[in-house]
Amino acid sequence: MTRIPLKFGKDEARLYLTAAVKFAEKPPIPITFVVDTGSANTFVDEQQTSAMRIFARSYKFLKYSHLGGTMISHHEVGGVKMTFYTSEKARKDIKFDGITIVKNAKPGKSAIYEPVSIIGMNFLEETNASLYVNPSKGEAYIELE
Amino acid sequence: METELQLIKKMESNVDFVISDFKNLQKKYPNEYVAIFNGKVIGDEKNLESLSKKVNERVKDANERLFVLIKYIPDKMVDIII
Repeated sequence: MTRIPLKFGKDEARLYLTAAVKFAEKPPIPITFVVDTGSANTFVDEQQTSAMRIFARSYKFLKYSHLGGTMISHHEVGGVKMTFYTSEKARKDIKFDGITIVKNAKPGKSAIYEPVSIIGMNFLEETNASLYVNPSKGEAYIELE
Repeated sequence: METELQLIKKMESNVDFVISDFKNLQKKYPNEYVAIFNGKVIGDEKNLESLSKKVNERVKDANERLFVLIKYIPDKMVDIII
């Protein structure tokens, strides 16, 4: 078993996980995700990839979904390689196909759009991972087989 | 070229800053977008597009801009549910 520690932001009740994500032939990019089991999908906001000139519009449109008070469009990027830092200070590489790149589908119309990247339930399902969270101890991790 | 683990560590310094300083961020930048780079705030704006322009001006190197974390900071009376 491999444990990937999550950072617990108790004042905003969020779980953060930073990974290096490699899109096709591009160099790896550091992406900070929020782990959210309320989301079916795993996605990266293009705000976090734009410096590497990776934009949602370059990829095939897949679907819309609601995020907070706004709507985002998902675009297929194919598989990515995600590298994590384990609790044993080692690297763990995972190939993951269920990720999309997203952008605000209604720019200027929503009151607030937070450019956030999410690790959702499909990541846990497809990688056979489990999630442990103990807020009172400030302890959280994803466990991979 | 930095390794994947170096990329992660460098980016995590921004996350550590957000986690440890979130209440101060709420006091200083309520209902604003902030850009965090190397563990400190390098810009704040009410509008995301304006902040993106400011980040491009202040961090010229695109490879360094990969390490800019942009967050919306709600005031104390507002929770964001994603």
